[in-house]
Amino acid sequence: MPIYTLTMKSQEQLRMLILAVLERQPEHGYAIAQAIKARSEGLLTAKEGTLYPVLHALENEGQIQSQETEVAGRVRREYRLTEKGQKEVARLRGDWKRQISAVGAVLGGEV
Amino acid sequence: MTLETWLHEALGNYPTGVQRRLGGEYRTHLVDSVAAGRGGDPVQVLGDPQRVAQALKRSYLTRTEWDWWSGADKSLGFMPFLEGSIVLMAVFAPSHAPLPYAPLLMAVTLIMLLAVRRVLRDRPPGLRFLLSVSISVLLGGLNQLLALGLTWTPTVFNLSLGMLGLAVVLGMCFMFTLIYPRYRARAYQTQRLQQAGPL
Repeated sequence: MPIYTLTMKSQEQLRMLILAVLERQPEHGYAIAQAIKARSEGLLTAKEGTLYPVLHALENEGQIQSQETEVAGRVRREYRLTEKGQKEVARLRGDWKRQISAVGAVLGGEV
Repeated sequence: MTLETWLHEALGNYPTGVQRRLGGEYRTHLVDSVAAGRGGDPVQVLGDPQRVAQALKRSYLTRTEWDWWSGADKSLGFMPFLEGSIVLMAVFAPSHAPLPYAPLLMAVTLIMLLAVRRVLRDRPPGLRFLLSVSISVLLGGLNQLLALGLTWTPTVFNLSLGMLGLAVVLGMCFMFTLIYPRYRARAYQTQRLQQAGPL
């Protein structure tokens, strides 16, 4: 049972996680959702319906692109990171590390 | 809830192109979920369809918005009358300015609005109406301010009226800059899916 569920409030985090998953390799929607869950060891999860509006928003912004591929006789839409998306994920990662560092400095101890 | 009901609640308010593309993706997603042994309850796997419908508004026009934008909406039939009335108001707005400014301002406004109409002739009907009316109201407001300035007598009433007019013009510019680009982006993304083939 996940202890933290991504909500609409954390759409920005979901964008970042999607871009990070696609940085490794192109994936289809279901695999992206499972990759987020697996890499966070089940701590991060989202109601998967909200994944596609974010994927479409990212595609419309040119951060990712998609194309239909046929896998085992089934047509799927595979998403891949664009050059613009690669720059964006690098920027988001930097911002996130700075945030973590700042919060850690305030909290003190081992974060 | 069946998948079809879920899809209807999530996508029913969107044009066919959006329904086709996202419907295909959600169907595939649920098939993958069943294949992975996670079950096929759409609410359990995909969540609240209303939230999806709300989230999609960031990227796409709703069916009503699309119909209006693309000219399919029947209410657009009345738009030329409304548009014509607003254009006439913009043209006659400076009529109380002193000679020779009144006919000069009216002629310049008319020429500008005809030029705008020519530039916009190949645009989608909704966009054409929106831009034409906005520019007409803006010109009409500026004409009022000019006419007011030319007949200026410093009274509290005139000052208040002038400030109000200026606030309306600036407010419209602000709203148009803020809202229109986002609306246009959503319209073009919707158009892209409307023109795309099936998944």
